[in-house]
Amino acid sequence: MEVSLKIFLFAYLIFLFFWVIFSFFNIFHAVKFGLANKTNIIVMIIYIVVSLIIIGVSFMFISTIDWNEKIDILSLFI
Amino acid sequence: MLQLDKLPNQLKNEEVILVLRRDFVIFFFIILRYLLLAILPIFAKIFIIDFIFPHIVDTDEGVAVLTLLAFGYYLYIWLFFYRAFLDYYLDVWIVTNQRILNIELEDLFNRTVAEQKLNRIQDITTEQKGFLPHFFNYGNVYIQTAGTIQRFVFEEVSNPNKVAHQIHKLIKWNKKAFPDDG
Repeated sequence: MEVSLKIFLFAYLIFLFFWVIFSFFNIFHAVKFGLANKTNIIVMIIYIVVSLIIIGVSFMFISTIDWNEKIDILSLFI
Repeated sequence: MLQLDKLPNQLKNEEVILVLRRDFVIFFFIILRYLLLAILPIFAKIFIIDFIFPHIVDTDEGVAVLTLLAFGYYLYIWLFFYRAFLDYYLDVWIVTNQRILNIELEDLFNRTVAEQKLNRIQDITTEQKGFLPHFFNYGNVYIQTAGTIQRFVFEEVSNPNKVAHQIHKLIKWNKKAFPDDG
């Protein structure tokens, strides 16, 4: 059963979309309700920076793949 | 952001004496849990994929799919770890020279702020149950009040007996400083 790799890319992008929404809510919460101190701000910055690094690396990897290729799902497991 | 010099319903001449959170040991175990989750894909690769489904890594397409899965997994682990940090860090118990405040994050859109004046506190008890609370000296402080919320609980705070003692001292001081209050 052959499927295009694009399906997995779209699935990842949809996951990323929801991830961004949940991240936004977490950061909003930290900003609105957290104590105004260094720890809160530093951890928030670390979260954003590491997140951007993971997303950046993932997009660098995505750019190297030909997503028009097809993959045979069943042959992967047999 | 919440500022300690501008608390909710700030009272005149009010000063913050204690800002309490759960003991760091609690968050340390949360960190350990997420570290284990972070290394889980490595074990999955070694013990499941290489042994049971080795064909997956024989093709570029299979590697591409697995790598995308890994990126998605780590992004969500990181998200949930930050959420766990917020859950730990945003739960705060503040003791001022006039009242106690209980600020708790229940879930993403649910935050509770409860307060009670010191002169309405009737009883303070502490509890340290189990090996870890005794070893790391953390526990619960139960504050019985004569208010709508009858019991405040400072959960898993460091040195609960010292906290209870400090609150006792503050209550005595508060009664002398504000004899007509309440």
